[in-house]
Amino acid sequence: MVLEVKNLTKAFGENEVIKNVSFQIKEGEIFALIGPNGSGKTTIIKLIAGLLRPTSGQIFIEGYDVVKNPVEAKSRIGYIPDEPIIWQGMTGLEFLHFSGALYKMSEEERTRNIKKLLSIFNLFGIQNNYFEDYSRGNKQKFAILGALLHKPKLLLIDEPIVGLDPQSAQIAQDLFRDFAQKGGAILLVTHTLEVVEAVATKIGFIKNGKLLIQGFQKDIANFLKLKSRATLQEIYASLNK
Amino acid sequence: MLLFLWQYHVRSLGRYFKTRPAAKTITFSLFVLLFISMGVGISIFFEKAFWFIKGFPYLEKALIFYVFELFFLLVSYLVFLSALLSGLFIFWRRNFDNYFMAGPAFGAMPWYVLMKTTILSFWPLVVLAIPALLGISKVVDFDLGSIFVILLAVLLLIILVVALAFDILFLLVRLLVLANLRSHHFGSVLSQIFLGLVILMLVISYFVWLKFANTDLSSFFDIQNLNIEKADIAKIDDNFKWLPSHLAAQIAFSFIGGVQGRILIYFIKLFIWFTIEIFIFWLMSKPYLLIWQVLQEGRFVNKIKPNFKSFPRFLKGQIGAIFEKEMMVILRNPRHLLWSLFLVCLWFIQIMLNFVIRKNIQTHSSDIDGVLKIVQAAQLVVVVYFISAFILRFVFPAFSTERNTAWILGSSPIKLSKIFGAKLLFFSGALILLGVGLSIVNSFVLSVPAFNLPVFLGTTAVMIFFAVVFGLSLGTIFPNFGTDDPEILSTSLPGLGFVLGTLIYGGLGATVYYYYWLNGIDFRSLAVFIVVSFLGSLVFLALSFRFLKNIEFKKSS
Repeated sequence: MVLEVKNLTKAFGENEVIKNVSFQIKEGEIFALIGPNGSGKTTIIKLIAGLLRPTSGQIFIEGYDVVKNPVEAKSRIGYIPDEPIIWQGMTGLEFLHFSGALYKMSEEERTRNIKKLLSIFNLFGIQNNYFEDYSRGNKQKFAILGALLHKPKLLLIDEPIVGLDPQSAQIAQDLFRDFAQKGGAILLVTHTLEVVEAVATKIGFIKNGKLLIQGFQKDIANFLKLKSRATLQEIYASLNK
Repeated sequence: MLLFLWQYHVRSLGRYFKTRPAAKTITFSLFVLLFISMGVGISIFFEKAFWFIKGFPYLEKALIFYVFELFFLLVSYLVFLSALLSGLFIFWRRNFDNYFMAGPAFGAMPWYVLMKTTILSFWPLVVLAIPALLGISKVVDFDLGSIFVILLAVLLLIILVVALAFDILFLLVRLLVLANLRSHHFGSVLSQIFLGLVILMLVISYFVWLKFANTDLSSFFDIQNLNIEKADIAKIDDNFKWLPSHLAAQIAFSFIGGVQGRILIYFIKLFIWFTIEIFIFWLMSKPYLLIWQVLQEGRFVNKIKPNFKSFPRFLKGQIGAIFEKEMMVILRNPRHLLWSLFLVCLWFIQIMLNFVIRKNIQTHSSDIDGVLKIVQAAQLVVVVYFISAFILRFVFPAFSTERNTAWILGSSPIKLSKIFGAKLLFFSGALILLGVGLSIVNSFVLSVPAFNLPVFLGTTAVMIFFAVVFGLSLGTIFPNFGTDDPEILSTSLPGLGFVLGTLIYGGLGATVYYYYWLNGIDFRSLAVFIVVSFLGSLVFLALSFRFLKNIEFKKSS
């Protein structure tokens, strides 16, 4: 088991935004969490990434508790946020090296991996430009590469293809599929249902902080008494009634 | 459009008090109290100083005129520098600008920035000019009417100086845009403006330096000449003429000199100068849209585009990466650099005063040793306060400003206490180096005996270390992830707590140091102070580590 979320609850003061959520992601799985705006998807990702502390419940990454053993747990994570902002005046290349250094990678290892990763999106030539000067899509590409650099076991992805051109979006999807096929696990949070249909192996639907349903698309369709070939759009509409 | 913007700003004051009104009311009240305390201090200082001056009938009028000239020059200098920095942001790319410039009211933008900068520049009037005049009025014949007229002159002077700064800035920008017109390479114009501004600030500072530092007061007031009964003001008049502050000084002095009839003439002169500056501004700001469009093609640090193969470059590991990141954040941010430059310019004033002290007191005072003890203790407190300004700007908000980048640091396998340690290492190292460097320069200028230097520098280093720990800890214990603007963060209640804390701590340190030297190098009290500083640092570090365990990076205030 790569990720195990047990009875996770998060409250901001009186406001309980995540309510007793439990799910698991195994090696090779891409679990897509979908739901309307403000349902708690990003909060769950932030709780797993260790940016927020659970009010109750537990999160294990390869058996390590995110709260009790944060360093061991986080060393297995790669996180791609919905809004990749970095420090003013840092270049894309410096950002990648900085990320690698935080994961205790040697300079040689970083240089080798960065070279390989830059070729995926063909980012050679712009790696020494300032990050804030990149287009939205290029920022996203560097964030994806930064998350993959240290070869994590679990990828946490919040809105993966926002700003990417169609070709880059396809490359990103292939990259995620390849990552999972090589034994990684992915938690994907998105509103783009086409991406979910294209890459997700399992789906979870969250509304008002509650994980209403999770499983394979076909099983969910059957459970909702929709036709077995129901599209994700139809499933989503049925759940969001 | 201007009216709409002003309504927005006025309403934003109301919005400020809507969330956590109790804490914000306390913060606001404490700030007012701090300003009042400063004002009372300045008022008492001027009252005492003018009583002292009154004791020398030969010097009285000339010295008062000289004090007015220096005072108004200082006010103008501060306003001019801050106006240059604020004015620069007319050309800065901000989200707000795009809405403004895409609409039909783009022509209002330079006027809006001019008015906003002018209002923000009124602080010397409130904090310096009004308390000083109230203090002086207890010694010389200043009635309410004359105070009102002088304040009006200062007001006009401030607007004039702001407009002058903007005119120079616009001229510089237009010249640089024209120079790059043929090549169409506008990408580097912003960097050129930045460089031009740095040179301009240094030149102005040097000019003000000359007005201050090269002054031998005895020859200035012709003390050796026994044939005259009262010192002549002609030399002072000559020294400061052509400065905008000169007219305001003349207006203030006219009330004491008994030449009220000339006030109207000086006022008219000041008003004409003011009108000319505003007219030039109107002319200069006409092609603003064109300049703005051109400048969007570049960025401020365009010229120093880095091309490094790795990061961190000099250090290794996680701490090395954080350490170099902190350095990079400051050095590659022109806003931080210009702000630091502004502080350096203020430091120039302090050095100027040191030159005046050395030149005049060491030459003419019989109790050089006694004066030096006071001055050196004052140097200690000045250096600590100077460094505290850097701490308030960079160290105190060091955790809160990570709100947008928390996704990198917070999700990485590095303990927050390690990040804290790296930040502490960087800031304490850099600021101790800076503080000790300033102290060495100050001591050199004042010709402090070499045997006393190690203790002086050691005390400075310990005090700076404590101040850094104090600032970083307060910012960590009370993080504010609602904004990443260091100016807003530092004016919060914990920021005010830091200001008050360091004010008291600096004053205490200087007092202890003064008595250490006064009592024939008595180490006991100084040793106790140093030990208490270290223990205090440990307490704040322990508190910070405790709070770091529960910190959450959520974007709310």
